[in-house]
Amino acid sequence: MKPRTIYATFVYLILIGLSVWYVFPLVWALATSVKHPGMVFDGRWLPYERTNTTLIDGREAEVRIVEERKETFLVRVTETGTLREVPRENLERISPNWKNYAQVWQLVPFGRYFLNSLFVSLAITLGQLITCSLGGYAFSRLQFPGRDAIFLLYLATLMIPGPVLTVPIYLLLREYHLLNTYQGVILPGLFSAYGTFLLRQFFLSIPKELEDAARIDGSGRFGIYLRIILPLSGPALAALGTFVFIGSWNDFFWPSIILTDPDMQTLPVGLAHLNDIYLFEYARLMAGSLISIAPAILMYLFFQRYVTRGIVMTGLKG
Amino acid sequence: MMSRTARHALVGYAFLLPNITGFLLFTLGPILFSFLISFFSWNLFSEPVFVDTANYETMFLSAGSHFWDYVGNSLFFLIVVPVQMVVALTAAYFLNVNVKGSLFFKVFFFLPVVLSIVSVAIIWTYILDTENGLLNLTLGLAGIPKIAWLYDSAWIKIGISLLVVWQGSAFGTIVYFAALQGIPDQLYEVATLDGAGRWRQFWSITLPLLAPTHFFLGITGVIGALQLFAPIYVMTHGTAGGAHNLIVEVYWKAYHEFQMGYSSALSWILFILIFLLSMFYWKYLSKKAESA
Repeated sequence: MKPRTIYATFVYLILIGLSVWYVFPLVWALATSVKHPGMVFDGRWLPYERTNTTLIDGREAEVRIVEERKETFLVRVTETGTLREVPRENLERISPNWKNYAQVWQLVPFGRYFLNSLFVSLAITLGQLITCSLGGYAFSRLQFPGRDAIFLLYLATLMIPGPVLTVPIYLLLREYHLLNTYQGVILPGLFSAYGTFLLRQFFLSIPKELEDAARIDGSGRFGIYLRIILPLSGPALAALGTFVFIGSWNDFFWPSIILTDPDMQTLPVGLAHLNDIYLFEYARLMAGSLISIAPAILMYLFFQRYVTRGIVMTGLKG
Repeated sequence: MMSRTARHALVGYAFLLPNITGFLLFTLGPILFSFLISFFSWNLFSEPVFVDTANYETMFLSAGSHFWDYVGNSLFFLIVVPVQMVVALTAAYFLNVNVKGSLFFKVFFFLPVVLSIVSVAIIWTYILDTENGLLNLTLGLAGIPKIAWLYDSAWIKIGISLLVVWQGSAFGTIVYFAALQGIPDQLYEVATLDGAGRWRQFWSITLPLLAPTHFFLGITGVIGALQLFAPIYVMTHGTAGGAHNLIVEVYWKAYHEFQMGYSSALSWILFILIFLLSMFYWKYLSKKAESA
């Protein structure tokens, strides 16, 4: 073999190995999610189902399994009461058990949780884009006393981890009776020092001349922000938006503290609740987990470019 | 008639208003308030009582606080940072090599980044199941006896780390991949002309040029690892067990025992820990960069 071929083979082996590592947990979850009761732990990938009828002496007969053997079952024929040994495959067939999905859907209002998550995440994303772009514009282009001092203060708070903030925000929301409301989840998410910083950096890269030209044409500051700065910042806004959306869609800590009403929970909180009810009932748990991640996977497959760009931009410029 | 500067200032403040309101209410205010109440004893149902540094003293000195155990558990999870980075760099490096079809694998490598940690934790709870989990079944093929990943207080941290690496490495892969694409091909071409093999090129060109990315992923990794909450909470149904770290304790003290002052004090210690580790990491890395 040519060295080039050997190298390519080596690369493929590593790529396939890593793909297995990333995909196996999901395939395993999918395989488990369609298993039949009593057959979840049979150690096989495919969903086997046991029937209680089989062909005995050329005609269909009802049987009961007495003993499991390696390749066969020892069964008692109900009609005659005799013991017979039949091959395993006669009593087992492969069929996905979609009932698990129906059952978790009945127990957990996934549709409702999906809408809750969507509403909360969209509100936070939209709100943060508005406040961060307004603030970012002020910090990058407008002159006012204390601007740089305030901006430094913003930067200083970037080091403070979220948990330091949670108790006071909880107390504040409690004071205004906003616990267990959507506002309680959304309001603290409407602002981010990091997002402000990110958009300020991006706005600084937009040529000032464009703005000057618009001012000569008589545009006010808000007009410039709306008609020049925002349209030119599409990539940055999309990046921040994707990043914020994924973050709030998957957030668990804060919504689990604020939302106690079962009808108001977001997907992760509702799923954690399901996890506590269905202890060890893995087929249904896997079904529930897959239902809740399906929208994210779909979104990812359609918008893969935006997702990766969002992560790279928000990550690297920071 | 207002002066020009006054009008400018007014416009500036108007733009900043929604933003700074959020900043004061949900960032700066809470930071100051949190620091203040860390010196109080307050259970929400009675008036706060000033207790000076008693919260901090209890934390550090009372054996019943288990503080050092929790610090130890928090620090243990730092192990995911280097592992995550090695997996991410390996994945990104081989996606980026000039072999036909390598980019096809991107879709698998990047996927975990959009999955909710709660779903991932539930799926991994089953993978780590002692009797029937995929991991023990696989290890069993190699003759390794069953490990109680989620029940043994020594193994639970490793079990949780596995899933954190599984999900977290996808983020690193994306960032490394973008950085790798930014390295000009000419550098490798020159190195090839000089007779440097792939291995040598990796160590002498790729790795050093990725220094800013190593730094970024290291810092965000440390911050993330010290704030690990959802997987611990989900996989142990809120009991945390051997994986009980500082952040679980912050949560527990505030929202189960309503000791708001003590919980705030804990969160400040967590901040100091994150701050010191980031500083250490920064110093260490910038020194290494100088000597390189």
